[in-house]
Amino acid sequence: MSDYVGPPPEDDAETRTETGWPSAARPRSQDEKEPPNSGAANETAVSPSSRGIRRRLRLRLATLVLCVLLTILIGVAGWGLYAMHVNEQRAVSWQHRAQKLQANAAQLQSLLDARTRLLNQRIDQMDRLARKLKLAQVALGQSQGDVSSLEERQRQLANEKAQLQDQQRLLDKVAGGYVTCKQDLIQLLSDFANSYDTTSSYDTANTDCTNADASLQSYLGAYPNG
Amino acid sequence: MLHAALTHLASARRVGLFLAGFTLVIALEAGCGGLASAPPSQPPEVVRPAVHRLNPQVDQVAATPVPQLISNSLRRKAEEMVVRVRNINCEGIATGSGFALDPHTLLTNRHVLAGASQLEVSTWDGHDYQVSTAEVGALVDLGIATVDGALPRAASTYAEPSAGEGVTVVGFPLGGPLTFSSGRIVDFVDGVSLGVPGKVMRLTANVEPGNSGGPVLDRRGRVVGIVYAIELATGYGLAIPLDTLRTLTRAGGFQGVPACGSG
Repeated sequence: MSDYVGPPPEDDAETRTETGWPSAARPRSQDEKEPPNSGAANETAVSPSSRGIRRRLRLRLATLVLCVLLTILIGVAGWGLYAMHVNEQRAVSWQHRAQKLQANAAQLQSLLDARTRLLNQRIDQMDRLARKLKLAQVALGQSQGDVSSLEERQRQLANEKAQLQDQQRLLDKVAGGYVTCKQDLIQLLSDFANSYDTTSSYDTANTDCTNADASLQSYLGAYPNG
Repeated sequence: MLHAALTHLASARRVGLFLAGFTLVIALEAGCGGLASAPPSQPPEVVRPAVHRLNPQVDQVAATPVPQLISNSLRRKAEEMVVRVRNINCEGIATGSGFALDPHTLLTNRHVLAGASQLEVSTWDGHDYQVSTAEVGALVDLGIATVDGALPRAASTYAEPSAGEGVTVVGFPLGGPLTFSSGRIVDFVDGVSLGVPGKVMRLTANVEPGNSGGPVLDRRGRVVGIVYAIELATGYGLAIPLDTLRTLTRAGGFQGVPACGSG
């Protein structure tokens, strides 16, 4: 086995031989000997021992490449496993999140359903109230009309009452005048029966009865139909 | 030598193919083996719950203005504050108008109360009140009386009307039913020649005997004056503004009701 496995030295056309190695720098094995007087032959023929060396070198190169490829492969595989693991964790996380969101959505949906039912109840109540209110408005309008009619009638009756009270007060006045007239006449007759002086009584009775007649005429003037 | 190289190359190629295949298998396993389950292809269906519709009556009812109750109207307020005054005197009966200043006090004209042996007050709806005390202004045609019982509504007053302003005269003309007569304030004139030592308001509103003592109301139902006469030359109603009443009342005060036949 050779103890040299490093890369070839720098390419130098003047020193390179057919094998690619410079003749001075090429490594030699222990059993490799320089053939005597072989200057021209060395330049055109390769010995079997050099072929073995090349084969070993290529095997070593392939082994090296294989190691590198294996390293890369292991790295890729490791990275793939790592990515797979991370992706799985993330997928599980997304799945949990989606489940939570689905649960929230379900709760919100149920809440929305409940609110909608409540809203529908309120709407139905409002519709019923509106119908009642409409009826109440119509009834109120009718009541207002009835109240107006009754109030108008009340005004008429109040006016008639006031007129009748005016008439009553006037009649009271006329009646009072005639009552006074009657009392004066009674006094006059009494004085006359007792042979008293009737002049004063007569004047009083005359005045009061005249006033009573005037009141009656005034009343008849104000109320011709009595 | 060539054969050995070819053999070596073939061996190396097999190794390379093996490595490539191995790499592909690992890559596929790494790429596909850890795939999470795919999400559903379609989004979840959102079912919106149905909401009932509001009945159009709701809008109609909401848009319908609340009818003003008769009891809240200005007309009703005016009706309740104005009273009919019956003056029973030695010559018979006279009637006039007045209005409540507070639940027990009413204002009217002096000539409505003058000579009364008995005073009675009636409201628009037929309620009667007896007047317990009465006084009249010494300088102005103003009478004030207190009644037994409580009058339905007291008047609110406003002392600064202006010419051209719309007014309504409320009262019991000719002793008849309560009437409302609309018009406007023509102007404010010196009332010395019209029996009032102060400014007098002339009105286009129809004024008749029996309106005396009734209030002159502005558009908001506030009392701005008291009707007391008719200007024969023009037919305008005459009313005493509130500020004139106050001035003359402060200056002359009140006195007892003149007796019947005393003028």
